[in-house]
Amino acid sequence: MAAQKIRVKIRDQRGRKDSLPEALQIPKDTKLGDFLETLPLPGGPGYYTVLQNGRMGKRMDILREGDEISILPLSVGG
Amino acid sequence: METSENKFLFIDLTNSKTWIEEPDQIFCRTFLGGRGWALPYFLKNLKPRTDPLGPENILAVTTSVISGARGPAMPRVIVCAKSPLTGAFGESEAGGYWAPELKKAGFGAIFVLGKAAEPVYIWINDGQVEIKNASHLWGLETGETQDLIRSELGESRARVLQIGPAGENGVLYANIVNELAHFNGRNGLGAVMGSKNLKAIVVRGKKEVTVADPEKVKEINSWTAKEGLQKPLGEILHRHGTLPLVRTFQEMGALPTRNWTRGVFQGGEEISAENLHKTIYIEPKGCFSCPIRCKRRARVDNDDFHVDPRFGGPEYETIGALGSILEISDPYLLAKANEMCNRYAVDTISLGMTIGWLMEAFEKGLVDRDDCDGLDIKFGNGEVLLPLIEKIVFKEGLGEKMARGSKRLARELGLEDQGFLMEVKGQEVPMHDPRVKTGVGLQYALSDYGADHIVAPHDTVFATEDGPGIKEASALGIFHPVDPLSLGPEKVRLFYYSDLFWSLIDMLGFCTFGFVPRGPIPLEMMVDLIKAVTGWPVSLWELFKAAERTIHLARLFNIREGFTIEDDRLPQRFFQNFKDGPLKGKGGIDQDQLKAAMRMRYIMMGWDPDTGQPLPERLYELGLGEFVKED
Ligand code: SF4
Repeated sequence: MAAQKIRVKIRDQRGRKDSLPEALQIPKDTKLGDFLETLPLPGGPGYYTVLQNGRMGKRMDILREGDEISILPLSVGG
Repeated sequence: METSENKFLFIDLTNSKTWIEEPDQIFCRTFLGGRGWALPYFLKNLKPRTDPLGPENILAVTTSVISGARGPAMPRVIVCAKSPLTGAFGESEAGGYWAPELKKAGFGAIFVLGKAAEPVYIWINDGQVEIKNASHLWGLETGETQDLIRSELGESRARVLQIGPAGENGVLYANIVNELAHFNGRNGLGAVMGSKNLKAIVVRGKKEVTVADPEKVKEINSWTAKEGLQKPLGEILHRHGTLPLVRTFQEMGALPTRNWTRGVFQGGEEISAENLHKTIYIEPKGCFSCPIRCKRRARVDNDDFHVDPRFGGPEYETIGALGSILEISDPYLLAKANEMCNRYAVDTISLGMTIGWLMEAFEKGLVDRDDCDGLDIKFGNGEVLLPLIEKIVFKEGLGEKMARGSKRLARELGLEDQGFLMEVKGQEVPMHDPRVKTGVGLQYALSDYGADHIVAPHDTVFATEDGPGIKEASALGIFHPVDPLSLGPEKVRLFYYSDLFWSLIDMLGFCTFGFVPRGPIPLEMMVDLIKAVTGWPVSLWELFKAAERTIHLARLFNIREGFTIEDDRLPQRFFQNFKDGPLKGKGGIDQDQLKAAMRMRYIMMGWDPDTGQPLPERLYELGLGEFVKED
């Protein structure tokens, strides 16, 4: 039986040209950290501020159907 | 390697005397530059409790042992004096072109003493020094001043470091600018320059500086241009400067809004990097020899405003302080306000925050229109912004009090204890909320020159295993992620090391945007760059020791001026939870945890945990025995 999939939305707000898709189907019970690893993010996920449904995302959190993941520039100093 | 370009030029404006002293190589290597050169001189020659705006204050305009070489991200001029805003040791760095030019003209630093009887400017042309009359320039804006000076000297490439009307008028947060768009922004050092009747220091140097290994420097510069700019932080900086932070903080719920009462700004989209690039920005600009070119320039030409790109464009800090703090979102108005501040040479952070404080007092009914020269000083009322800038710079009406900063304004209005002053040691906090990055809060509280955002890299870069702090800055010795919200020992240690690192960057005239974990250039390459320029076989250990010396010397300076551990503190509002947005009901910093963290930090520094004073043993360890006070 094919693994169950869920759909997560992506808000790519890095202001880069190579933007990410608006939504992706991913296997159920995927952790945020594992999902981020699959995205083509230059430097890797650690170079971005990641919000899950508007809150700071934790890498161990399991993603749910309809979750909205925002990828933003890292909040480094001014 | 011996070079003659680190000579110190002394100028006593009271009697128009100039002389040169040549520091020996050991001094140069022990103290490197910037505050490292200024502080030993201040501690020996500046009397405690000197009036910062009196002739006895000393203005040190410095470079470093590496300035002038054609490397990446190393253009900064470091200005130091006793600050009129904080009363503490004052320091501020600016990029641009001036510091390399001073080195090319043969000097490493200028110490300005005394006060001229009438307005003057200093003209340094390939080692020749002249004090020239500036009466005809006094009162002029920065653009006019630069044009006139260049034309009367017949030197279109002379580099002009100057004050504007704000510095002349003694606005306590007046700044100093070079090339019209690079600012020694904080601590009110422009007012010190103005108090000496010194309008500008103009330099022209045609000699290349001595570099031990020019090929290596070239190689590092090419690496930055090719590979550094491909790295995510380099790429974002190059394409958008610091502006993407608006969206990041807005989405997190930590964009300083309405004098820090909110973390989300309804007009946030209008001040986002994308919209500002659509509306006001033109091509990026850079600094001497730096391929990163992260600075923005704004141009507006519409029915309401004309904004001249010569004066640069607002960076994130300005967009926050004049925009979200005041709830003003019109990009054209913000571009104009920024241009006005730059023409008058006044710090946009302190200015915006002083207006923000007044707006809150107005909204709370603590002041009314009569107190505010008939103006409706409400959040979101953009109509008052430009008139208030004029009033502050020219000290008209209420502007007279506002020109002294938010703390003095509140005190003079009898409202100091209302709990919404956002300053540390008298300097207004910049646009980074320590409730989402507690290390920034530790540094706001501890910084020797009041709240500042570029005292250390921010917590977020060390937050994950794969972030730039852990992945790329391992030479710092931090191998595990540190939670941005913790105030535990690991955070105290992280910010102890970070403070050393950033102090080093500052004293060498490096730009913080250039180096990991804030920018693209690795630490190892930074050390290679210093070796290549100086020819000294320096190590990161030796360099950090030099940085540590200056933190202790600045602490000693401030203790002389009457500062105590009571002054190492945060504004009350940061102990309260966010009231709106995604962080609603969360975030307030725990006061006891902060206190414990500060105490631990004093101990790590080798300071008495009860008084915050450097222990003699630590001063001896740093080779600063001559500054130990015998009881
Ligand atoms: S990184 Fe940006 S601010 Fe720093 S020196 Fe380069 S161009 Fe100037």
